[in-house]
Amino acid sequence: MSVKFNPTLVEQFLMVAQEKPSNLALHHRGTELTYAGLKAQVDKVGSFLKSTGIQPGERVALVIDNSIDYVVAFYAIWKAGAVVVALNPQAKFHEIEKLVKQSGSSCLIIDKLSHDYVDALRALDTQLITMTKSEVAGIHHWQEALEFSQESDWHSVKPESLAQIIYTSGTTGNPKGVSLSHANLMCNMVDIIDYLLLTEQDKVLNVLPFHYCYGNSVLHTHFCVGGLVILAGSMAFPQEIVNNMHQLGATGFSGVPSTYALFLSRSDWPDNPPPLRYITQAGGPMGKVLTEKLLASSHQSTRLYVMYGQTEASARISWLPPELLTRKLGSAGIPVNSVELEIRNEQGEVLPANSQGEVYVRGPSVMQGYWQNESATKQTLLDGWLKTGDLGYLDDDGFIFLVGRNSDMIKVGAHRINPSELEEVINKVDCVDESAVVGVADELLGQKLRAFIVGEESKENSFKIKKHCNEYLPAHKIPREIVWVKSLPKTASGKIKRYQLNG
Amino acid sequence: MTAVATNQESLLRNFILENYLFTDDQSKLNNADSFLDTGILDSMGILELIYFLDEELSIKVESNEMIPANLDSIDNLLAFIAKKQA
Repeated sequence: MSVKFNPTLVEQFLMVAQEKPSNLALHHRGTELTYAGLKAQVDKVGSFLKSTGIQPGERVALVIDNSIDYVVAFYAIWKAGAVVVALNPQAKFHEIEKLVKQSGSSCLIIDKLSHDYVDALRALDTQLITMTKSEVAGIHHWQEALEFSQESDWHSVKPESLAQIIYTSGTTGNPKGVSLSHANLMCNMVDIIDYLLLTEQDKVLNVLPFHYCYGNSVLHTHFCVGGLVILAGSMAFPQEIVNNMHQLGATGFSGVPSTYALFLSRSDWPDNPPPLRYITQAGGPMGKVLTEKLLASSHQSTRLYVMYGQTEASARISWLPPELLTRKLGSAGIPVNSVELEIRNEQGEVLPANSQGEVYVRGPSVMQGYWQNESATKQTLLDGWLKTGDLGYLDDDGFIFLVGRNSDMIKVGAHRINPSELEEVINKVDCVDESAVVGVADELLGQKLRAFIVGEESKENSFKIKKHCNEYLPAHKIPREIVWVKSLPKTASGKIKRYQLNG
Repeated sequence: MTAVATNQESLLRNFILENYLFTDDQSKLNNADSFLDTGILDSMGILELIYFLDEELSIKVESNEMIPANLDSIDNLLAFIAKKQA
């Protein structure tokens, strides 16, 4: 049965809730919620947000782990016509504070609120809603929102209105907020649904964080068709995830290369593959050996989709049809329906097939720009084309092969990490003169972080650096290795030659 | 920490304290603390813990043993190790 699509995810959600009220929308740790049940919660929280004075277009920051509450809050923000700014719940307070400020969020919905931060947040003139009970006056409790009884209407959002800001690691050390409109998101979700052949029968088991574009797209694509999103636990226990797939009858799963490496080495997947209809892989290229191993070890009816994307393009740019996986091994496939793709040289000239250059894409899923960062927007959006920073070529059949990135971004598991951000933090430690962080190959995670430090070498100081990082950075950004060196290799202009440090 | 910590308990506690809490202050870690719920370890940390168990204590963790009941706190680890070595 074909799915009917609306111009925005808001209208789509309301349609699904009305037409398929008894379909299960979410499953989390044994709790199930239908679309009707979910909409009822969204209605209450959305009405509560409106009653607090939140206006259409205002930004609302969301700092909650994947959960039913996250999804309720997300759609409730849209009910109020406001803009979702979902931030990494693992981030340290300093980072959250910086992004709340940068996004100009007028409200922060946060899972766990430490009282140490209340004053700092108040200074930002931000309303606070927290999941933990607080005795501090003026802070709303989440339960208040869930029990709010005065109903109000859904704000009628326009497709071109700003829907969401997703922060990515910028190349200069400061994260950039990717501004996505309702139309950007809807168009990309429709393209993904089309090639994944999603229907309301689908039950995706999700481990991806929703605050990244990959997890965000998994959530909304399944909601568009009235499917079920099962919120699974941490990838720390891969066997449990695989057990859940079997027990809950999951039909789909999405992961990054390290997720699949873990399944193959740390679970019984190879001996007892879950009977999934599809699995998707994005978040950095997956090696040919791992791809072939995954294909050989998966259930015979499972379709493996290799995909490529960027937050700046809402999520998905290209996909490789599963039936061509072996023939085009190593390729990230063909552009999704609404996206045009070109390879250009440094002068911006379009290159012919088999010539390596930078990937440019254009289409209705390409972002509006970076939030309040005109210079970064101008450097990235050129005449409607998104300059991705990824390097690659198209073969004679128009299939894209990616060969690397035009920047120093490091990929650890599902996380993109900008070394400049880490260096800024490390350089503040008094025993450090300067530092350079690089990614070195890691069997499971793709890359791990190694910090080269110039300064007063000692075991205590290595300890001090890690401790300092732990104060300001989430766990995945703490360098696993500290290497003391006399000096860093640099260009004549003083720029660090990272490629000489990459092990 | 128990009044007289066993060698294994000390080894495990020090591994967690030094590598994830960046301190040698023993009061910062309770044996019952869940590594994941308290944010002491993430999925990468659990993997590193498994390598540590193999290399330092010769405990091989099988796929079906990678569950929170075995690995998610010092108490759980000690019970798991005792079972493996029984």
